[in-house]
Amino acid sequence: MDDPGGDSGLAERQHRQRRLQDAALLLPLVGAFFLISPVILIFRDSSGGEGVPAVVVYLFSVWLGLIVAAALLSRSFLRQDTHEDG
Amino acid sequence: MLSWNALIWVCILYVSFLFLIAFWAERRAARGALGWLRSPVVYTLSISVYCTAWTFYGAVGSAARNGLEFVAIYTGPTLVFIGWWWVLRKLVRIGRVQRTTSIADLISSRYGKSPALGVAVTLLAVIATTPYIALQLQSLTLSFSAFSASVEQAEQIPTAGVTAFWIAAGLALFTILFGTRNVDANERHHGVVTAIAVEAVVKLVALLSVGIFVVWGVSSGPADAFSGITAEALRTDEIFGPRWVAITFLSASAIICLPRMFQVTVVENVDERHLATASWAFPLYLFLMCLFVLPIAIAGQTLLPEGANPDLYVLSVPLAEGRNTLALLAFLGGFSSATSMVIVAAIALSTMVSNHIVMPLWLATRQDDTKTSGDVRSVLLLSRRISIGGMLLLGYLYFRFTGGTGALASIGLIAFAGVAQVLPGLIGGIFWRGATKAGALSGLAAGFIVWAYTLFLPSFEGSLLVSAAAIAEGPFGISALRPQALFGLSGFDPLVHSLFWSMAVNIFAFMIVSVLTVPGQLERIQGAQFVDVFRMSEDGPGVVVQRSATSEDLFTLAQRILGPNHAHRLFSAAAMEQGKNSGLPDPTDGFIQQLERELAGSVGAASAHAMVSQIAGGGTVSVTDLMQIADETAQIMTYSQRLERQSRELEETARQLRLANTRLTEISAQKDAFLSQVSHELRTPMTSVRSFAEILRDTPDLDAAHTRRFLKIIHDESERLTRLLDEILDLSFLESGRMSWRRDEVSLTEVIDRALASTEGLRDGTNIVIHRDRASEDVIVTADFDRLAQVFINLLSNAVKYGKADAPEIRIAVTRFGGKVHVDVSDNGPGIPMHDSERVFEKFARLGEITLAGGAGLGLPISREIIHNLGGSLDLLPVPVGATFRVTLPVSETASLSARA
Repeated sequence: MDDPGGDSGLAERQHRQRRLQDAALLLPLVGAFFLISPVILIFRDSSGGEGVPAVVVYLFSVWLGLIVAAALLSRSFLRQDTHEDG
Repeated sequence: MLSWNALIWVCILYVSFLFLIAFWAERRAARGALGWLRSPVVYTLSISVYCTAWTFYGAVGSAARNGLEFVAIYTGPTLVFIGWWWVLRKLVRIGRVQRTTSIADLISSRYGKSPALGVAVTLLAVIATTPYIALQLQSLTLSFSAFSASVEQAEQIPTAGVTAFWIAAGLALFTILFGTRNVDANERHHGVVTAIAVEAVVKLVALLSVGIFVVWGVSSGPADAFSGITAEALRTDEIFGPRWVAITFLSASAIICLPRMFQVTVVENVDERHLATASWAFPLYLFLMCLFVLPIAIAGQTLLPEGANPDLYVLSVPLAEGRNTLALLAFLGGFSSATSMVIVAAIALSTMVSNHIVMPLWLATRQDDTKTSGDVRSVLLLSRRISIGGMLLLGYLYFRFTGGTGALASIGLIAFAGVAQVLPGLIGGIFWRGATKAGALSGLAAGFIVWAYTLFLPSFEGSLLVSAAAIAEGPFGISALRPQALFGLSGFDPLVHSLFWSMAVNIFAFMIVSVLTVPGQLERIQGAQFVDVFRMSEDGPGVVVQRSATSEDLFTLAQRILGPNHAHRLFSAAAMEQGKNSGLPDPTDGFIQQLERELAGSVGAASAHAMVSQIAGGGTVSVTDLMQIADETAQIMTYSQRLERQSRELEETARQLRLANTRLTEISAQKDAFLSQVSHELRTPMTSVRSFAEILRDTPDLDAAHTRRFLKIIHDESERLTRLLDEILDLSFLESGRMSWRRDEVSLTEVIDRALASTEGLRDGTNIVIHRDRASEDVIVTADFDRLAQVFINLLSNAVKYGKADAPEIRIAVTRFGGKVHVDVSDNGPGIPMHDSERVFEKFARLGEITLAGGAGLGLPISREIIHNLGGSLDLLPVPVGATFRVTLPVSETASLSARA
């Protein structure tokens, strides 16, 4: 940020922090929606015959997506932490 | 093909390597040079102790039997870790602030450091973990036998029981060596954690290698590897139901509640920020572990003969393909998975057993002499070593008696369901202030009983407590009590059925009893500190329990638990903080609390509390402190009350400032008025002086009589000017308080005599009659005689001047009133209108037109100022006829005393 000491900078940072926290709270709910809600049943029949079954692709890509999202969030948290420390 | 002996040698070499790693890490930790050993990577890898042999071998077996179901065991922890902001972050913070040593310690500490809860959670953990350890032993023996099955010299190979026994003994030795080297203040085991991290890498590399070999070595890519699979084999039609949700929930709660998971996630955490990294890195680890499970399962089903144990596909597929090195790597992976789980679980459980079962018993047996004798450290270490041996022995016995039956296969999930009974009390404890000890105990007990009856005991298939007939038909033929169809709720998977009933009973008992019971003082304090851990300051405890003890007793206790060096360091630091250069610190309430927390890091909160209480007493908490932590609403109320008070104070200050401002403005206006009055008063005599002086100058032939008359006028006017200036000076002196005052015993009679004498000239030619009562005037006051006379002269001359009447009279009346004396000077003139009663005391305030030469209008203000300085008051009394001025003076104390005597 350009003026980390300024009022607008502070408000902006607080807002950012609040949004990060909300995102961190939201992520497992999104994960639960894709992993244990009936949404998963959409893919159960599409075995496809050839190649990797769709349901396997679905499960593992949702899983990987959650990991990537968590990594991005975690990076933001850690960066913010060092900002605050410094 | 590897020989049996070679396999043993590989194991011994590998374990020696782990020994070296652990030893080296301990050495570095001792030197304080942990470096990358405390990096988030090591932390994440140590959490992967979640992946036991049950994962390494069992996931593939489960995939072969139940299709995709195994994934749920890893998505649950994934959800918990990517949602670390909800629960894990709070647990880690609480663990650090409260120096938590285990999950039993956390729960016992939350509910008022209750020993009972500590025991309950410990027992539950032991019961749920024993089969789990047995499962690891079984996996290890199976993997040994998978190798030896293809070896010719079968007679050399010991039986499964003997193998398991030596494995258990070896693991016990390793755990005792590195898990109980010392009673670390924070229960951190850097050596073990580092060894576990290395094992985590080995098992991941092993499983990935087997997976890559299967996909690209045996098959020609992912599409080919999956070509043999059908939707039926994946069981997609059946598994995405209640069981899927139940397993996800169980694995999610297991990652929080399993003693070994709590140990590595919370207790061994050195930096909260590591959790942020683990939040994605640990799910990634799980993801990689699961990635090749399905291909390996498919390969096993297609390559291996019918009837091969799916639980050993990871090992048997490379063996069948003739890849001995790969098989050895896989074997080491499985070995790592099993050993790391057993080591961490044994450490976690031994800590729980020694802190929550042995310590309280030991304390109870030596109630009288805890202050003086016995080294607690050696008792703790010994009890932990014995507990580790005991845990492994229990696991071994369980394996011996149930191993080989199919019962072990499903024991992982049964254990999960058992430890999940801790979850309501744990989550409720850190988010709900209303949760009480009685509630937590009831929930735990009820949930445990239902779990044992509906899932744990039936898993023995009739060989333990509940007979096979009772499982099928219900005890005594009561079908409503059938363990796997309680109240006729049949048609469900036994796991889902048990989880539903046990969780429902657990949660309701926990919440209802919590609502019905009243928490004790310590419970409330701990509850507030747990629920609001992020709002409380980290070092200063929010509420201090008031206790008293001698520093010497506390030091002895600390030495016995922490060891002389650590205790010395702790006490010196505290003494320095209190500003002492040497000696023991004062046993303040805050210090006792800090010490108890330090001790809790070694023996657990409940034991530490009991020990400190034996020395310092249970202690009390002030009502204000209790109010403070009462609840959130009260905190907000206190805060808003403080704000209100501050704003009231501000308002009051502003009001005073406004008042002061008004007064300053008034004073400034008065000063202006005064100055213009003074100029005016000075100007009149000056004008006449100047004009008469001009006549004298400009008229040289003025006769002598006129000259003398004019000169007299000039002289009189000059005198008037002088008098006026004198009065102004007098007043300004009086008002500034720079006047020096004589304090004498003054008789009122004499003062009045003097005043009457002085005004005699003024009264010449008038027929004024003076009334006075000399007897009543016999009063002594402490005053400055001349100044007091000046006041009466002024009052009398005013009475003469303004008291115009047909038969003018002046009355002087003296009355005693308590310690005071009133002197009233009255005339029978026209009097002063009420609305002017205060104005007469203002400067230059001559009333109406009746003025006499010589009066500048400063007489009354000066008089009032004098009387004020003498400690009395001068007022105009409201009387119907004439004007009455009242002088009130304090009577001289010494004089009145002598008069009485």
